Amino acid sequence: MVFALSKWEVLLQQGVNGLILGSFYALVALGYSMVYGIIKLLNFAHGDIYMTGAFVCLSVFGVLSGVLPGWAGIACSIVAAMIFSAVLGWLAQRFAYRPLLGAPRLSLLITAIGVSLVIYNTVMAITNSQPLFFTSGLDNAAGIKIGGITVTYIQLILLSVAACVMIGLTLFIGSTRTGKAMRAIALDQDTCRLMGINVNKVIGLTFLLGSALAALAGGLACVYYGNVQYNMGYTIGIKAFTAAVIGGIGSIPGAMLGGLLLGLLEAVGTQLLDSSWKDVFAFGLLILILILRPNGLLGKSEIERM
Amino acid sequence: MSSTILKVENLETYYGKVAALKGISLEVRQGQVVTLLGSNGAGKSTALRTISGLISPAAGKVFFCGEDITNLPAHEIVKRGLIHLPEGRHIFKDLTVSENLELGAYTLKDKHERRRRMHDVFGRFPILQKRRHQLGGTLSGGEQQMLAIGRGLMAAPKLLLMDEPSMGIAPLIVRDITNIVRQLNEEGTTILLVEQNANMALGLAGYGYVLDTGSIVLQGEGARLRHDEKVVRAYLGG
Ligand SMILES: Nc1ncnc2c1ncn2[C@@H]1O[C@H](COP(=O)(O)OP(=O)(O)O)[C@@H](O)[C@H]1O
Ligand SMILES: [Mg+2]
Repeated sequence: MVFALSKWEVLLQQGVNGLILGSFYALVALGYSMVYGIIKLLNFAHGDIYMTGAFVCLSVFGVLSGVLPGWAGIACSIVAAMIFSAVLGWLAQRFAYRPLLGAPRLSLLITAIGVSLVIYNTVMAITNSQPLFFTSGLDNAAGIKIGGITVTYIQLILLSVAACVMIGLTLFIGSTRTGKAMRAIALDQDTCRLMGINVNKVIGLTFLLGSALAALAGGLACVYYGNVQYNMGYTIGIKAFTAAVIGGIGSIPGAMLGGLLLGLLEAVGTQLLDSSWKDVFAFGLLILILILRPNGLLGKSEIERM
Repeated sequence: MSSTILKVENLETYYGKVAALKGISLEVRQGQVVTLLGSNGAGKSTALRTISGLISPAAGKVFFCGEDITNLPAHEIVKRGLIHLPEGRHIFKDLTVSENLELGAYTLKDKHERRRRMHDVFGRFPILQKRRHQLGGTLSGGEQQMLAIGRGLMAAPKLLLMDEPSMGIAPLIVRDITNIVRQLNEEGTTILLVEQNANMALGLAGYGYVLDTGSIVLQGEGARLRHDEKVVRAYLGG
């Protein structure tokens, strides 16, 4: 009896961990999905935008730490990271992707890989390939106990921020004039131009938004995990992309669902098997989902070819 | 004589190396319905797409209300009140009827005015009000055409370019569409109507042009074209 209870508690604790991981995936997956939805580009550089966000957050916090310690400093650093990465994502869009929008899809894809490598190698060179460590001076273990499980304050903040952002984004895409324009551009660009929509401007805005979300995730990851490295965008890039596909690429709720699901599956896999088997477990199930629903959980049934 | 609202001079448009328009000129005056006739592939849609800025011409000029709009981007041209309803309706299928209409007034910032215009459109097309929460893709062809026209009206057009509004629509509904076009014109909207259905178009238009493989081969008063031997033979099944 006691054994069974504690086993449930461990599973719940893993559930919290899964939600955290899933929130990171979801925030990054949103940018993949939005960009794919609007210009059908797999933005390979998106994981590097996330990494840049973490890097800027750490650097700005270092500068601010004397003036603005604790949560205020963290919040400012993350906002700075979001602004920096949003501009970076926009610049990539403006100067690398936009000139190629009429070119074959493969050229655009290769350009995205190029942008990814430029950012990745720049940060690698700046940091001498060394990891950087983040110390906030806050007690990371402090938190509240609910039943037998502990949720730390930082986990609570992370989950609330992710939830607020996802609700805000859903409302924005669903009901604002610009949100409607984004959805319309994903369907039919020429007709949007005939509505008086400046299509390039809205595409730029999509990159701003998606990159800011990735940087938010990067900044939070920097604070949560306490270290930053030039290659940290690689794995999460692949996983967030997977999450976007599982959810149905191009679908905003799909990206959120896919991200959370992947995070939870990994956590459960860690618990049931072993952490080295978690990807085998999670991705095995994901392959199964895709076989059953080739367009993802919330994706449309049209067939899209790369 | 009323003032010229649209003037097209020697417009040439290419797809790659192929000329789709070989220097066409035409004119639409305030309050008119003018039709551009021609068989499939004549270049009618290309003409409208060039006028509305979706494609750039290789040569020639387009003037709207006296302003040279030849090289303006499409979204800027819309702001001036030149509204193009594309061939095949192009409803946003995954957006609701209301959302489609709202996008028609995208350039209008004033919320109240947007609501007032939507109210007008619903008054004109009650079926759209009934279906306002439905996705555009679930409407019938005739309803989609009404939505396309309603979406155009949301922009309060000074000039409406209509590309084959009768295409793919049941004959009974074509009569409705004809009446709508006539009514819009009576209310003061100037219209450039592209059609293959010459019967419909010449019943509406005061003036007409006939386009053939990228060149204007005939032009004249609507009534005169309706009795022109060549037009009757080629387009009225005479
Ligand atoms: N996107 C395009 N690319 C290449 N050729 C085109 C394109 N659109 C139309 N054309 C060609 O241009 C000519 C005129 O087409 P179009 O303007 O659509 O004629 P219409 O509207 O009178 O049927 C046709 O020969 C057509 O094949
Ligand atoms: Mg046509």
